[in-house]
Amino acid sequence: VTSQNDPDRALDALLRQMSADRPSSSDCPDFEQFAAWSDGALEISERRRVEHHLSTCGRCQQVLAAFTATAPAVPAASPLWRRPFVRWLIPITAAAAAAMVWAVRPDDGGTTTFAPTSTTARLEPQSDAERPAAEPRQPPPEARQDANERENRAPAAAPPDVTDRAEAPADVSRNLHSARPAEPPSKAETEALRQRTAEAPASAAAAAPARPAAARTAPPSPPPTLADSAAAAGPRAEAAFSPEMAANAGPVVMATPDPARQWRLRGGGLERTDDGGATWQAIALPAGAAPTAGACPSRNVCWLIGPSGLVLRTTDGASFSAVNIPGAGALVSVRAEGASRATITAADGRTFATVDGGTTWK
Amino acid sequence: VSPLRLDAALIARVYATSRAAAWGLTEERFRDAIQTSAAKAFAGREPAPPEIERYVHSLHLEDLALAAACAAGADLAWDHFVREYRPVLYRAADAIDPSGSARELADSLYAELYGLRRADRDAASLFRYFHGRSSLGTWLRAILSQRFIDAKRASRRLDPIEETEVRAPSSRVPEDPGAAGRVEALRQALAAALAALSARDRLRLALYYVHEMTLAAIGRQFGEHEATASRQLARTRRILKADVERRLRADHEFDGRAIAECWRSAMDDAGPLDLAALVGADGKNAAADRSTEKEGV
Repeated sequence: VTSQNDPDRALDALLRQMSADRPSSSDCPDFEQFAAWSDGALEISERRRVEHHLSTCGRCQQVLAAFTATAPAVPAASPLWRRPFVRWLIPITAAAAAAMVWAVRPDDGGTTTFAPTSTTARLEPQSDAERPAAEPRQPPPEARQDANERENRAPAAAPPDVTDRAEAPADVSRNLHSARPAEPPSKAETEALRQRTAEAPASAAAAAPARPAAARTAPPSPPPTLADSAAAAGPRAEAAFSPEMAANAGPVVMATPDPARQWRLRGGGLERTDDGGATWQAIALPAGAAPTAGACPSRNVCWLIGPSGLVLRTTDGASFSAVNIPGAGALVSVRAEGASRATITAADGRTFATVDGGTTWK
Repeated sequence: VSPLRLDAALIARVYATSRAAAWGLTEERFRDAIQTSAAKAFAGREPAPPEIERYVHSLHLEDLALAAACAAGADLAWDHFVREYRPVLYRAADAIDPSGSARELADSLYAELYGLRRADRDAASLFRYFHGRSSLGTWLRAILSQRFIDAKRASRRLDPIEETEVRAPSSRVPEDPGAAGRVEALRQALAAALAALSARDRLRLALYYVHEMTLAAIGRQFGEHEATASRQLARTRRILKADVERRLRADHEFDGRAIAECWRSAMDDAGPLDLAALVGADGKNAAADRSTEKEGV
């Protein structure tokens, strides 16, 4: 009797038998073309040709496998609570919680009888928001372990019978192994991803409703409470561009118009994500460059600035070249409208504007 | 082929931002390097000036300046290269082969990059094959990987035992006389289905099934998240299976039971599938590839 899994197992067995064992030939891309393909620099027809070749040439596939192994170590995805927005959230949520406590009190009819039990009851929905205030920065170890487990487990859909691959956990193998091939494969996967992304907004969601609530119930002239600092923290999280903040407040994240692609400055280095922040890849900068802020007006254009007149620009979303800006001194902020137009402010307040990609400044 | 016309002002601009002058590279030599690069990329075509300009700006100009300066024998540039890229190369070598044989290759690469101290170093240095289309780091990793695999394949060809292992034909004699026919029908259907896939999808399958790359590594190479690579693989496999079954019904008029029998027989005796022969290695089908993916970056 044929079990339902047979076709899938047979297909896997057949696919593992694919081979393309032929000697390297003049068809094989040379290392320059291969590297350009890998860096996404080929125009479409050349890219198609190379990919067609790679998909049928065992030698080039072996090269690709070896090449991939040499990829510079991708910094491990930083734990959730170290991600920039969470850092900002912690004070915000703490402040929101505090504001909530304050807002609840006068709401209780202005009487001084404020039973602790009722506080608890009123604040219960906010308990998530309170927690970060009580436990700054680090979640409890079990939460961390949880998060790590999720990291490790989440996305892999290992086709069956390949058990020896460290990075391919078996969790989602059900998809490929599944006896329900017509169904969307990614149930378990999306679940895993959902869990993963849900970690983040969990505390965000807790904080978000707290602020309007506080605003609604606040009396006309509230004393300067933590609510103010929460409000102050908001725009900072968006701007996050000043050097002090880069130094003191963890990574500086720079959004591009493409939500999937973001840049961040972290520990003196630059990282880029192409999946909305799930994974970050280190991007090489010219030696000695330590930018502190940046602006990214389009997907592939990014301007970075730093001390001693440092200005870097990329127009391909990958490699940065230095832009000369004579006599500028330390730079603190940059606004950019594209690859050619940018305005940079120096620490002494002077501004420098270019409309030709930094060749001339006014 | 007449050399591409490069706008002098454009060259002057990129020369200024590429740090070429810091290595003592003249503007003429830098222009030559860009010229060579563009000539290869445009392959005899005469692009319009804006296209050339876009191309030039897309290059890793600092890396190109450094490589051109090294090729021209600038000691300062060479020292900088060794300082910056030796760790890159060694890390790559250790990742390819922790036992150290790739490191030997990496060391021998230096001699080629340096140009073996010949008088005509410019002509001899491997650097003249760097065109700035990738970063210098990617380029070095690509050379090292190709050299390593070619050396490994050459030594394997000298090893008859491994050869027979790789080529081991199926020794099983099917008990069911119809099985051989069913397997053959299935293999033909699969071959056609594989050939109909987009090159990218086919490559992903090969990297996963044949080269046992991890999903994370495949994703990295394709610029995808691991979960996306996984989804794409699952999707390709689903398409493949449906296509195989469709072909079995259409070409052989098999019903569901017969198709199930095909799969079962194939499990007993899969046999090798030569992709190069199936798909056509000459790239003629490249244009016909059914690309189901978004183009561009």
